[in-house]
Amino acid sequence: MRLEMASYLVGDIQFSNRTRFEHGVLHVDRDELRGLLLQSGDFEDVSLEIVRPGEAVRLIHVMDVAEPRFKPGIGSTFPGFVGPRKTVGEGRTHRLAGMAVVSAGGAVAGEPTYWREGIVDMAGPGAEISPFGSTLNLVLEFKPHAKYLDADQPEAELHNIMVGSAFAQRYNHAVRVAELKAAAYLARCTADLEPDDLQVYELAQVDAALPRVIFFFQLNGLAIYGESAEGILPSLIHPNEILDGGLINVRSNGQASTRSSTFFIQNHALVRELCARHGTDFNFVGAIIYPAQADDLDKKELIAEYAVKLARMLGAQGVCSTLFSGGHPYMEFMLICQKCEQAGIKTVLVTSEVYGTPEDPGFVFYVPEAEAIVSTGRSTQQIELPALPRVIGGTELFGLPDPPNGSLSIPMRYLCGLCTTTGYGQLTAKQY
Amino acid sequence: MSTVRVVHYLNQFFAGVGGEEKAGEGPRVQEGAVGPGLALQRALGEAGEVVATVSCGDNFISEQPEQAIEQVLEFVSKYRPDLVVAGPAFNAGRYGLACGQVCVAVQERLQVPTVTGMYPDNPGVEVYRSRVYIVPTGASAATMAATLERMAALGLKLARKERLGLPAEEGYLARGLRFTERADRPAAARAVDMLVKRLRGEPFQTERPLPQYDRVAAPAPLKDLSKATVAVVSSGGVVPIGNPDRMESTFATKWLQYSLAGVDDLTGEAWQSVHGGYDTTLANEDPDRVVPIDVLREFEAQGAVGRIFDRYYVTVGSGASTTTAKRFGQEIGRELVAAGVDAVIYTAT
Repeated sequence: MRLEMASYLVGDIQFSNRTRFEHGVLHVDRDELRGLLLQSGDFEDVSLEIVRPGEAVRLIHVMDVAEPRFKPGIGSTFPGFVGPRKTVGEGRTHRLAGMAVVSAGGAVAGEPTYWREGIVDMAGPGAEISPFGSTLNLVLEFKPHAKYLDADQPEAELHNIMVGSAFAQRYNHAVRVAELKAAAYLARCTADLEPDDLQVYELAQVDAALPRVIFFFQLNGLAIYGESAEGILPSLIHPNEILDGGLINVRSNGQASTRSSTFFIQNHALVRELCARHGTDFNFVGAIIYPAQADDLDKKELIAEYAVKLARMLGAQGVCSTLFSGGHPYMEFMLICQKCEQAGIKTVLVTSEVYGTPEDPGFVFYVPEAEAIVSTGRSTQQIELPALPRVIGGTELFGLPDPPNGSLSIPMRYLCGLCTTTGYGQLTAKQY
Repeated sequence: MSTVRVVHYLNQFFAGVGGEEKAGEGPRVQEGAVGPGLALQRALGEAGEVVATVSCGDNFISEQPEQAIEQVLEFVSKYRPDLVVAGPAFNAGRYGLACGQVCVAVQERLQVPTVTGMYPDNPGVEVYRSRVYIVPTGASAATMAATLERMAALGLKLARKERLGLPAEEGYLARGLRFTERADRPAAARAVDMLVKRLRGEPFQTERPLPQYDRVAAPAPLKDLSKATVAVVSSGGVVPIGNPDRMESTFATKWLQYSLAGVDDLTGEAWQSVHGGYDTTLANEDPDRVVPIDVLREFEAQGAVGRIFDRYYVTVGSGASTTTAKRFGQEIGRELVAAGVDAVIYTAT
């Protein structure tokens, strides 16, 4: 599979009377795009704002972030959400680089908010270390339609706190569809333009003597081609499909610092790094995805067994393996590491961390074989954020008593994407 | 910057009181530097002054720690120090433990920074390394001057509240505290580098060493369950419907207790799980699945279990640190012991 990623470098975004990409500036017809997003009937209103790095703005209640993409040929842009469910990962894809579409807004009836708060600061120390503090952001602030707010409806009932009420699930899906519609709409205006940069992803035939490497990707809150990935057994996926819209975030679960935003999947840093060194340092054979949600040990054991069996069938000699986050997902993550090492497959693990005290270094479960770990930072560490006068996304913070425009002293876990285990960021944790 | 005021803690031997025969001597204080304190003063130079030396016999402090620490703190606080330096204790076990004990007390009760020095195998290291800055030393006093230089340099930084670098750079034993920092390259590149090193059989360095957790020994079995009072404790988050006491769904800051008087069954109408880490559908359909009160009442009625304790204790385990969990366990355990409970059924999820 050969994927050509055509990048158009966005130097600025401006609202304008016609959507177009000109001299590095993305002009956006705000009314046309707003009208497009309101068509679904899921929203009372959608407001569009442009925020730039360095501006004294704080985004709160961030649900997801996506990069504008458009596929003119083979496949479909965001299959299962915007386009038909065609295989992606080949042909040409246009991307608007240097910018992001950020979805923000309040909760609906029966939507648990204990994990939901996600903050993006555009200025100050939060912006300096956060991936979305340095992108040009088009923020979509969604106001849910009244039909999602009626707490007396049976659909508002909460049966499983992890996924929310039927309303919450439908509404979150509707927000992703809208966000991705916007992303596709924006990138479409580059259809006839020459890109600034072209990157080819193709796991071409390489020297058979090179060691065979695979990537284990623990999923949470993601859909595959629009389908829930929660009950699946480990599956083989081409790395290009990950980069090209095959996996989309559908839920704001997990702490914001490690949430799998669509943007991180589209720009999966570890996948890109493995592709870049394919043919030189090793033979990158493919990726294996598996869910982080198995609730009992039996299922975790099965997932680990099945995942490692696939790796062995592929002749893997080395693996990179990423933890989503959280507590019990450590079980299958560590079991996979152990079973790989026992099968002679060298493993490198990527995790974020919590706590970081001698009494509690934050491992819910570990195996002695886990001796090669890369840390993406400790998300329980406090960070001091300055007051930022302008707030987009809501008027009150979920789970925090402070006014959203004031100075905040909070754990890093509230900041979007800070400790993503996709390897996009530069943070680590060091022992003192 | 004004001169840093330093109080030096020594044992009876280094303070010149006497050898093993004087190890039972209580705390005493002398003005200025004594014994190794002279080398400490040289190492501090003009930046600091050893204003007093507090000492205590190693046996006295190990046998009457409370009395000794009270007296030591009283002497230390009189001199209003900016820093307390203890030892170095090298490989002397009792002395090492005393230095650690003094440092912890000074830090916690006087809010004054401290530094000590010990040989890495000194038993004081294992006990105090997570709470105290310990400069590693040789086994014997032969390295006294060099050790005090390193302790002085570190101590001055602590007294001035300067940010410390990594253990290897600053010369102290890692305390195990982990802090988020920016690395020189993205995590993806670091991970792939590490993998390539592993594939080539080259040395590599993990960024996250594996932990060593406490193990809790299982207690002796009950002699007779039919005479025992059994309590139910759970981290499964089952609380009265509507969550009246606002138990958090994750990162819980508290445990709660509810009366089981007259409760024979936890129904979905009256109870719910607010735990934010697992699919709660089945738990909410029938909360007995997490907290099996229905079955326990049957056992109680049959006489298989003597009595079900009439209070139920609950928290949420999701996101909990072992530090918090340990505290909750101790607090709940104290109540249960005081109430004469013989055994606990603990359910998680």
